[in-house]
Amino acid sequence: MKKILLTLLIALTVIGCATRKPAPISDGKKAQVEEKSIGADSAGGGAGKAGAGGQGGGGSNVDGSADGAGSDGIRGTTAGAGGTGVDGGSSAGGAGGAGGGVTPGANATGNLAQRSIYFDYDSFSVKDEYKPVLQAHAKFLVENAGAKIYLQGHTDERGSREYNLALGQKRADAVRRVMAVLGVKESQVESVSYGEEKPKSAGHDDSAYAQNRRADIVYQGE
Amino acid sequence: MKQLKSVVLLWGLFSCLVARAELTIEISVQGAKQIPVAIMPFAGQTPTQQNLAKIIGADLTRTGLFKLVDPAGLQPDLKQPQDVAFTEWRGRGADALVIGTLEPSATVGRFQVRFHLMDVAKQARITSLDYIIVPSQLRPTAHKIADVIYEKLLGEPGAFNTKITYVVKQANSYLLKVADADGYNEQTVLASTEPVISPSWSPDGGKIAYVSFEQKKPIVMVQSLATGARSVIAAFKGNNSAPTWSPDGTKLAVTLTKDGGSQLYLINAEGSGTPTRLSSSSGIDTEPAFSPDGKFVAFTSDRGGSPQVYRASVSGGDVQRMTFSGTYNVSPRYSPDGKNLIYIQRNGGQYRVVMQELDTGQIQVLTDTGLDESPSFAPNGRTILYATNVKGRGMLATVSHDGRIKQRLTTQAGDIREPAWGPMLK
Repeated sequence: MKKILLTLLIALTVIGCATRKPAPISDGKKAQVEEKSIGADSAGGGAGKAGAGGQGGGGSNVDGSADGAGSDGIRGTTAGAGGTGVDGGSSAGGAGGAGGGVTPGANATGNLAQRSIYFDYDSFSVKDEYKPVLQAHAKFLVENAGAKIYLQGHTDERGSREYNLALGQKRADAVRRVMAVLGVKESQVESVSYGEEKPKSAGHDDSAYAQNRRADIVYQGE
Repeated sequence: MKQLKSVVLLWGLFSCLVARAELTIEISVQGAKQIPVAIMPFAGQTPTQQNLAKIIGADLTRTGLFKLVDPAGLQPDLKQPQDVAFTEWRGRGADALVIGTLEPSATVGRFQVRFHLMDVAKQARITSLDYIIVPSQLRPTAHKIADVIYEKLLGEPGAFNTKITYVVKQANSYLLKVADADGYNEQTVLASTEPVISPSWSPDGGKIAYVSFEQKKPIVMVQSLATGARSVIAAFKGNNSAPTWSPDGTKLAVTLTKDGGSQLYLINAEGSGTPTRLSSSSGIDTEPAFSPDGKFVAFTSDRGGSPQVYRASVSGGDVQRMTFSGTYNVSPRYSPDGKNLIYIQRNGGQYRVVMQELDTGQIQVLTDTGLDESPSFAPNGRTILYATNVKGRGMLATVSHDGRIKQRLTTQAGDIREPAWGPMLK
């Protein structure tokens, strides 16, 4: 923990300093490599915490049209979906979506609260055990034509980042095809990949890797 | 017996003495012949200025191909080639000698840097050069002088006056950095709370294309280093990734999933127009890399069942498989002369940089690290920069094209990944 703080401190010092004293990027040309920050740190921290606390499901969602809030929403959601099982009120009917998208909301229960589909090593086939989860989300999407989802594919950390991005895409596409069979309109689904960039577990062993080979269902507007 | 030498140098941030985020470079050299060179302190150099002799010496030492000879006490006032006492320098063990001066020039605010490279054995001058510079050009000028010395003594161009880019992950930030090839002048080009991967230099060194996840999915952006201005080059439905510039700088090859799976497209470097599809397969096609003549694109594809390197002509078609050994060969890059291909090969659970001679198909494993990624050539083709991972922590490393000279670059400041060596600077 101390180490992280220290490195952050160093980072900030470096940035601050670089801004004050631009150094030559090459001889002849004056350096203006600007450091451009995307997203406010404070927003990021807040969103992350909400997700990890298991409350980031959707009720109080702010659409991330701008900067940090939106992108960190992803992080929060992913963390929140990690099986912490948000429970509460009723089913699909209580679709939330304060900030734009129609989402199951924080009150979703059961299969609709499950957001991750896990895959075997080097595999892209959706295992039968996840059918009920996909059916629940498909039902919600069919009943709520305004709802849209990202299917985010993920891989473990081994190998090329770009190749892993493509592998994660295969996982997301596999889930998308199941959704299509279940009657979800193509316009409601965008499959994308994070490759190895957003591991659910930070570990470097087989059990961590198993957590990271997954596809996450993320409602737009969360 | 293998001769193993280790030298440890410290990389500092000269522009920013407050932040001591130093990169440590550890060099190991196996059986390489080293040329002994003596570099005199430049006459007229003040202690507050960038130390030219030191920068040049560090550049040469890092290659593993030179050995510095201490000039202390020998001809301390030596400035002119005609005054060199060759036999004394020979006695000190030097094959080559560098002497120079740094003086204010006739124009106010400018300096004249002059150096002479002497062949001690032949008792002759090899070359002399002058540079008129502003003070901020001292470091780049030292790198240029090191390039001249390297080329004169080894017969091939150096790559000291170049830049590298990489991504540092610190806590929840992803920082895209650009630094001199010796690790100095590190600057943050982009700071994001979302991942940044696959930085790629434009051939003129003025721009970097990269993949950013700031819009909840991978999109390709191009950023000017001079102005910091960014533009979205590809943000189609699905993934947009793996940008790489054509040698003439007019196009980018990218991977898009807009029409289904991950496939290769060519797109105008300004982002205008419609992408043209370069490949067509039912599997993954990604990680494009142009051949130096711009005629071919090498890429990773799992069309045959396992990821292997293929190449296609830029006009599309003529697809040939390039790698045949093993079940995981990814991240191809052509050598600058187009004769070799480097890529990452998995063998027994180890991911290593290998080099394949294109004429013969002969393969050499270059590294002994085990989780290697993102290899790229120095523009002189002599060195390969790549990312690796030790105990869960990302670091950068380099290896010479023959595998004999290795460096590891670590930092206290976080996890480093996704390096790319920039082009030769004019």
